[in-house]
Amino acid sequence: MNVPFLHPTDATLSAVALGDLRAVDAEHTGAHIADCTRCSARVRSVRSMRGMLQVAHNETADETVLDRALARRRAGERVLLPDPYENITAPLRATSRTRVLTTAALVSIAAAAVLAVVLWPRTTARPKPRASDATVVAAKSLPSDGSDGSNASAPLPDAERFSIWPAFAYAAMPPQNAEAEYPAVTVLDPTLLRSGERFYVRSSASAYSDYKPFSAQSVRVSDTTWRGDSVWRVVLQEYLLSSHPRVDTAWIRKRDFRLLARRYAGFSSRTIERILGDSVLEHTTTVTPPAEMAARIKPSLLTNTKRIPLRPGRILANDQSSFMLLVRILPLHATWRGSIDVNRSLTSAVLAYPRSLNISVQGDSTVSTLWGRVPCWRVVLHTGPTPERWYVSKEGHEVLLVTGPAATNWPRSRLDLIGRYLK
Amino acid sequence: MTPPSSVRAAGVPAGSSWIAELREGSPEALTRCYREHAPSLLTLALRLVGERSDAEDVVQDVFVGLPEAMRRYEDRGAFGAWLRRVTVRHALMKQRKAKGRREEPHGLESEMLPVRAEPPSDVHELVERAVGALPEPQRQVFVLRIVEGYSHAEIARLLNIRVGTSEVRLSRALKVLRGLLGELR
Repeated sequence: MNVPFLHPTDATLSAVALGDLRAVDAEHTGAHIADCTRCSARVRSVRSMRGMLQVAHNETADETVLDRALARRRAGERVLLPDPYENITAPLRATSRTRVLTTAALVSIAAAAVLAVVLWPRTTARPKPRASDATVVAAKSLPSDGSDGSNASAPLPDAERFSIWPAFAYAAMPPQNAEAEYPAVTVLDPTLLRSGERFYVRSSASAYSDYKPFSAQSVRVSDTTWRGDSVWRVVLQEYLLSSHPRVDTAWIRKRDFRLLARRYAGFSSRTIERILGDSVLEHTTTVTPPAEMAARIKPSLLTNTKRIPLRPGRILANDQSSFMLLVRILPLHATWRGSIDVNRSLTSAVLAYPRSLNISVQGDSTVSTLWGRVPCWRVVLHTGPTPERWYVSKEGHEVLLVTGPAATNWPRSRLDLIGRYLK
Repeated sequence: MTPPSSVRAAGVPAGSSWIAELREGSPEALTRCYREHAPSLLTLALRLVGERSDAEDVVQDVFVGLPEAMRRYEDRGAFGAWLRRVTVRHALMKQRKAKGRREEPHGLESEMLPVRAEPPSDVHELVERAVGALPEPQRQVFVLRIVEGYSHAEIARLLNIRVGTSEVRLSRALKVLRGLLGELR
């Protein structure tokens, strides 16, 4: 037996068996296989298995599967199937851990854009500027690639747990084609953090948008440096139905995926309170730029952080958005009960909430959405004779559906999703 | 990216009106499509996800979303091949999401499941069982590469792994199968 070189790998032999080895390789490999009984047997073996599996007896498809599919369609449910020929993400570049961290970092940015919340660190000693200082700070402009490092060592406490960004409701759209007919569902992937890329993400149940459950953001990623570190600059712009876009910019250090700084440009003042521990509530205020400044989409700062003692079992809500945010971070379970102190009257379009609102989980349910069926807690707000029921996803605590006086609907059609929110 | 030649020939819809009906979500068209393609799609999904109930969920989802997805089908080659690729991507995506919600047992690869004790009716069933007994990571790469004809680069993108990892998994799968089946001819 004359074997000209070492045995080819299984990958190469399989390529030979499938007939897709490049010609230049096939010449050498073919010469080897012709003389090597071991390798030729392996090629035949792969061909045999392939042939048998391709003509194998198919499984019997139960008609009940079809019946259920048709019933789901009749109920208005749709599933966003991936485009099989769409370019999928590049092969993995990072480890699983770094992937999780990156995702968490990006997720936190998205959360901030939607909610206008800054995840200030618990452990970093920072000055507490008065509200009136904010304009001054804003005027200095923000960390602009190396200038200001006020929270450069900021950790992201509990970013994953407190993220309001749903893990299952992303939709990526082709770049420069916001009018694409149907977006491919994908998960937000760290490989999306590539310089020069622009993509779109969509979330459900945007607390920031009050009762508008869907919002869409474009994300642009670029490389830059800050204090000698290589960082990603991520610009996330939210599209809303009838207002100017909100822009959130974050700098993420590449080596440890740490959020170094954030710049937010919004158009309304918003106060968000966020539970950071068992007994501490951290209070963060967003600062609104003047109208003429907002018109030019100038950045403003998120500032004015203070810590508020949290009474056991009592939480605070200032407005509907913070109320929905609180729902996101409540430790809901089958028998959970609680009450919310309302600083000022929580008023929806049709209802004024009482100043102390009791809420409880009363069973669970499954809500059909455009991205599939989502297990939810049925959270009841005891608002009087006609209580509200909020269907809160068990996974991400997004409010997917509200029934009662302030009933909420969410987009159920492609036109709702794209035509209304991505103009 | 083009469909693998191995699956191009499967299932071409008969005429544009059939496609138009599918796009409109006609129950009759969906039923016809299901009866023609669901068995092979279910087999494919089962090979990828390993559990029949999960595979049925995948196929069910595909048929719920098919009319809207059909808007992208034009000029995309054979319908059957296109549908298989949709199923592959949806199955892998669905499984990835499901995995994020549950703990996977560790050391699965070392706990190789034996081929069932009862004798298979023919060599086809023997091969099917042997493939079904592969650990999931190896099984998915094997099915995508050997049966569906995806390249390692495509598999790497689909599974979010490195090309080298895909090749190693295939090598391990083939080694296990050779151990179970011997050198098939």
